[in-house]
Amino acid sequence: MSVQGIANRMGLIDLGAGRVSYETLDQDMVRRYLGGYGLGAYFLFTRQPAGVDPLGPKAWLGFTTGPLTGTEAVTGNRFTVVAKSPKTGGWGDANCGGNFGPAMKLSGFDHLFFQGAAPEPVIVHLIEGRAEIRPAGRLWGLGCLETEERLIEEYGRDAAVACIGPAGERASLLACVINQKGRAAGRSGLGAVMGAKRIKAVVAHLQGEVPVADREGLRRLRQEIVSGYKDNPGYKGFHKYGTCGGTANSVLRGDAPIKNWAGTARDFPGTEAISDDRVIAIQEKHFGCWRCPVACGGHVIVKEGHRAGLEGHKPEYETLAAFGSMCLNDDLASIVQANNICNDFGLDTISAGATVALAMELYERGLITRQDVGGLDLSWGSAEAVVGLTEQMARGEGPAGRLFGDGARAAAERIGRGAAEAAMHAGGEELAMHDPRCSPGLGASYVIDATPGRHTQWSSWLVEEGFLPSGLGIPRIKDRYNYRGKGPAHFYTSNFGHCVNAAGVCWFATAISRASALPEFLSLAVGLEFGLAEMQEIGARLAALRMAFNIREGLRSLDIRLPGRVIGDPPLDSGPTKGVRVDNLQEIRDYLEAAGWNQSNGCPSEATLKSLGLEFTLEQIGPAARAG
Amino acid sequence: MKIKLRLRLVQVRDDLEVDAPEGDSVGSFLSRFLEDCGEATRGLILDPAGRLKVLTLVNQEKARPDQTLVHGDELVLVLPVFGG
Repeated sequence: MSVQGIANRMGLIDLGAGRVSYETLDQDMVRRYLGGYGLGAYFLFTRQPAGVDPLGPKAWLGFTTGPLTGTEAVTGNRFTVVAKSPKTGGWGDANCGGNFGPAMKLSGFDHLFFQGAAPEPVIVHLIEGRAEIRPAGRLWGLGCLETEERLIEEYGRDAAVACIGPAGERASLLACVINQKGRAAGRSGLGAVMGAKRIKAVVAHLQGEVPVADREGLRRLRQEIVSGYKDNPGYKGFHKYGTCGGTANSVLRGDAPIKNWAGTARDFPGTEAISDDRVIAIQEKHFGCWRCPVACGGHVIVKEGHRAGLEGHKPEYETLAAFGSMCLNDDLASIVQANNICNDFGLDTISAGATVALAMELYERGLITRQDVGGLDLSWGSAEAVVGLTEQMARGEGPAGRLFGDGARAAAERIGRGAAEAAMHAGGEELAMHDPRCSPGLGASYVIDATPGRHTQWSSWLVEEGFLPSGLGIPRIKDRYNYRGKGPAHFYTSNFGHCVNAAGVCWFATAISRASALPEFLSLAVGLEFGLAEMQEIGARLAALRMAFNIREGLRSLDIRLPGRVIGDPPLDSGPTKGVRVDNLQEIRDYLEAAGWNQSNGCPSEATLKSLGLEFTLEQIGPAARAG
Repeated sequence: MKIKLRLRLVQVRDDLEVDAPEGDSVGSFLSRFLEDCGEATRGLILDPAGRLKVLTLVNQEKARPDQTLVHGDELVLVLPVFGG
């Protein structure tokens, strides 16, 4: 049976054969997995064998939307790229705003899955329920900005583009997928998978409307939620500043990592130069993703100094911290430039900045020299080094590009001699810009989520921070440093977060709304009844299925050890997190218990998999699920 | 004595120099400030139950309410802000 709120269509594209086929979605798939990485995990688990080379032709790459993408639901503009991650070797996903997700849905597709590799570069054009493979040799080698401009010129003003830059073309592990010249499906290295398949871009059109079960109901609910924003301090902060509003505060309170996770705010007195009002001072206009009432993004123009005139997207908090506090760089213009390089070449700014910080530490320790990095002086705080190394990494050229162009773990392996101690990653993914010593719940979710090192995976840390939608029903954590008993908070919060991601909406707007709005929007869009209880059940299913994917690949989260300094081993001797040692293993054990996953190997238990309707995974991960 | 008070509350961002009696504690200093500051600022510092929702730092270290302030101390009130 078909449902509303979805295009009811998946495109399966065999790039090697140049063949496109189509499948329909049924009600049960939406009810069980919603969409996004939920449906993506189901697809990859059932159709991709274990052990495939993520950059090889047998690997699948998915572009997925949620049931709320392209609808009247507040911030219904997200899409998620999914694949086996070439960085971690396990489940990979990356969530993105902008306008591509709605365009994909409006062009008649809920999900696209690519297999094989095109013999020559291609674009895939989506229009009125058809997917067309077209040559793209003329675009290969171009940056994301010019690629998007050319494709919009070619396909019309209603065209939306998701593309890779030169970093993705050469399958850099730092590569991401870019939309609207600066919205990024950043993490998991999925731009490399797209490049390995020689897909330069996917083009879709913003025309028409997604069929929904109750459009008037959706409009009324949207109106109610948006009206409530006017007195909401969270909305005011996000609208005025976007995420840059928190940079200095995060540095002061120990949330932002400093000096490759080894420093404190004392090491970075210039933090206010890359935060809130100083960033807004160069903002020319707001930028919002498709139909977003928050519009937390912006366009900036550097006004002074030798980078005056430089224009680009306003750097987000993660970018400001990665190229700023991590590198002790308080030169905002240089961060705008590094951000532009990443957006144009298609690099994840978190991973790129973290890799620059690694290089600076190795340079200080004498493990690399100027000669190793093309003459760059990689001293801490050097704005020129931040820009110069980012550019070399983006190009993958020169000694620095070859050493650091695949991120922190690969660079440390190439350099050897103890460099791995300074590579701040979890399972290959550079850690996001939030510190477990400040929000200890991160110490668990950086490990136990199927995509390690991610801040966008909800967990008890959002309870600790009080950044949750109202009415979610998760008790306040009174003492964030009391590690016992936080498993249920982690479990319930992350379950809801999985549904936010799989539904196709933005978590910022969700977190400043009431929790029940999410299932209400879903019910109105697809015509099935959802409530908060269903969100818990679906979220638990998505968590278990993503983890089952990793188990099948032979990856165990329990084998991931966070770098010592990230969890206070040794503890800092000054600053607001002085003396903190994070017992993330305790919270992980509690999470496993709450989720019904095995303590011995972190695999969802057989009983849990059956209770979630995931029996089909047992054929492949049965022994791990029964390990206890 | 003079205390440097830095408000980092997102909606309110200010650097003040505030007189305080010798031997003043962080707790009593804040109580007086909360009485004097406007309602809007108070709403950014306290939650509806009257609990502090900001992190209080003295000279970049976490402060205790009974901690004694000395002339020239820098007291910062930091509102946790989420960024992604």
